Amino acid sequence: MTLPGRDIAETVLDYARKNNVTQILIGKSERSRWFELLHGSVVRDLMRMSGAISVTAVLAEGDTMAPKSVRTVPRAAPGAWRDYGLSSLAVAITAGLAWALIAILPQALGSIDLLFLVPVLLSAVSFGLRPALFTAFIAGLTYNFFFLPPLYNFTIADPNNFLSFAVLLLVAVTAGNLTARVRDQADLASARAAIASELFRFTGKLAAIARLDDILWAGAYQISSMLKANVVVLLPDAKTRRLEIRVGYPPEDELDAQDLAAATWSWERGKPAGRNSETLPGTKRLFLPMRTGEGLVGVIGLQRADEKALLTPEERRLLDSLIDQTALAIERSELVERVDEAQVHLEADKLRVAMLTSLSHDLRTPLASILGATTTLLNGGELYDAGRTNELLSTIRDEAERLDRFVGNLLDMSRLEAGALGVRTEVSDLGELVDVARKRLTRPLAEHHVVVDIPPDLPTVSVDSLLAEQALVNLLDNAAKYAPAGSTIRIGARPRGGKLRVTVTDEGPGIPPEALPHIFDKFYRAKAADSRVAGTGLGLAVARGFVEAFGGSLEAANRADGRGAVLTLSLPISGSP
Amino acid sequence: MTHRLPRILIVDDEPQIQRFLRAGLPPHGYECVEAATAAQAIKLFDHERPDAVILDLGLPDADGFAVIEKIRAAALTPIVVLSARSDVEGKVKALEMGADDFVTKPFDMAELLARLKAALRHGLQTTGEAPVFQSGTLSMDLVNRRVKLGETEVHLSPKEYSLLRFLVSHAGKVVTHRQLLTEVWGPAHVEDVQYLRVLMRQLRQKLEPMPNLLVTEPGVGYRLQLLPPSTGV
Repeated sequence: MTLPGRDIAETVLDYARKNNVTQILIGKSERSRWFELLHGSVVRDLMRMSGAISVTAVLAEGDTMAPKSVRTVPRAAPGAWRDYGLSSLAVAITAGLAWALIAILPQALGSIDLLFLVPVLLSAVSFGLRPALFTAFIAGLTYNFFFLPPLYNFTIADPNNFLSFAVLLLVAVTAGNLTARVRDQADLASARAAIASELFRFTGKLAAIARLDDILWAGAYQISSMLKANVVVLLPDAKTRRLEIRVGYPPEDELDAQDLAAATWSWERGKPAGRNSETLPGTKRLFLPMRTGEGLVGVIGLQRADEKALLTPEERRLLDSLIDQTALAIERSELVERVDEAQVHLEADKLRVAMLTSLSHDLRTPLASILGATTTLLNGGELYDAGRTNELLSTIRDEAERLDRFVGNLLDMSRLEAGALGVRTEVSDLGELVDVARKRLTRPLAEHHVVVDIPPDLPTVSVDSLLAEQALVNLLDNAAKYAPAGSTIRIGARPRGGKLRVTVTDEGPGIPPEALPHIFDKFYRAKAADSRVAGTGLGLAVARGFVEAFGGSLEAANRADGRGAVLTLSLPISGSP
Repeated sequence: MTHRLPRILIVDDEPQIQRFLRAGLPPHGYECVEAATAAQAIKLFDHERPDAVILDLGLPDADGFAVIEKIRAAALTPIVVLSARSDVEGKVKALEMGADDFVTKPFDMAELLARLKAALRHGLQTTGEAPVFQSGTLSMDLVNRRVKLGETEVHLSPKEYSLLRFLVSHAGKVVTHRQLLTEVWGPAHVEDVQYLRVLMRQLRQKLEPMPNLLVTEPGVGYRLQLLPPSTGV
């Protein structure tokens, strides 16, 4: 991280205070005392100014130094006494030098006053106006006392010497003023850079947040910390459109009646209201509307520790840009939410239509057969011979079984969506699972040749046997539905990479390429309603959901030779990760 | 003891199920007694002393497990439980509490009759066993420890033999994984289902000419089917 600033120690401490740092660890390099005396030391400055923050210096190289923790009194006027002391010292050294010079070179006495400009200039450049004036003053006095006749008192005999004194003061004032201005500008620039960098970080942070509450929290915190104020953000309630506190920093959840009135006024008119504004100035807080190009999004309330203090233009500009950023982020999150909602509605509508089609067409088909067959038997069963009666009864049984599978799939789907599967993985044998699935589908598979090609030495799998069996049932049922009677359905299995890949291959029409991406969507049917085989459009969706529930996967493809579909189950092999 | 028809207590709160069992059982030589609640079931059990109980696990006043507990405290009367397909835990729990078998709803009348018959047979058979067991083409000589499919002798390892032996002694009834593991490997191995899966696969390979003999009950256990004896291969 890089911090902009003029003085390393000050900038570091500033950052530390703003971010509630309690401890600073700094590497100390080995430098001579003289170097430090001339150039200062960041470590020393840090320790001196750190206040409540504890600073630990660690020797960067060589022998380790015992870390020292220094706690100093909170920062007073920084360096004030030192500045004056050093200035005085400089004057004293100058006086000594002047004394020595005169002793060697007596004729220099006339221009010795020039020598005293040196400490004044030094002080002005290093410490600013006040220390410079002070230095000029003691330099004048020293010069007068030691070098102007009458010596060793402060009276000035020759009026010409007043001029020397005045020049000293003038130089001090001019140089000091100049330095002070440069310093002020540097300070200002550094402060502005800090604010700009802070704003930049804030904007970046807001952009990364999607949830409204998080945006509000980040905004309130930022405004509070940059303007040293308590902040509340009020947004209109989605239903009642009445303003209510959504977030406060520090946390706050109630406004008194006056503040609420000011906030509401500000919200309704889109103008500032409350403390230090033209409307309702007697309230605790100042309320400002949060506005974007689209309109108002809410109101922000500020309460500063010193309630009377007005915001400086600088602060006002900062506040405005913070509020703008927050308002934009709020608007963005609301737009995102609306888009999401619209998407969900659209999906739900599509699903509802698909489900109604499925239920009305596909559940009613078996019911119609059952009702038809039973009423036929009830009204004149005696007219039919045993063979026909048996055929009608078989129809009823087959259709009831089909209905049971439909309902089973619907139930399975709702269990899947409710997350209520209660998966129990156990070591299972694929051959057994296939046997059970085939047995449950004896009648639907009666018209097909089922070829099971499972090597005898396959590893066992770690699955929920009930879910895996149901997935197999759905795959086989699917194959039986779409592949023509008399065709072959092949079940194969091979281990590959910690998984057992189980394939169910049929000789049906295959899956249309445009249907491939949707084949596992619930209620999706590959063909239009009137030309298709009866089914709920849930079988494959359930199969995939079940298999994924215990860590397997299910994929669909067409056979390489284009004669049918291949569904591939990957089941975790037991004992392998 | 006078000769009478076996009496079955049907415990189910669904009138439609009651109705078709009432119609379906008597032609096969059973007499029906019906109860719709757990309390009524326990009362009728004491009163009527049925020969077997068909019990739905979901009852309005208490669950079926309470009924199993009450009945088992008093008698060894066979109990066949009716349960949903996905309720593996319920099936295993009922079996461990002493129920004899289960049928998954919705069920086939033929299946229920087979279970009921096996349960009643087992109830009678606890006293003694025939020395040679037969199902389909399988014959197992329990005295000489020999297994044959038709006329062909099948060589089984000791573990395979004891697995088949245990299933035969409960022929027609479901046997849980836990029971099989305890019986064949000992109580320390009740969790090692993979041993059972592998051994079962080997046994099935050796008995391959009879693929329907050993039935998997998913999540619960295995069942040895009682098939009409035949000598053909």
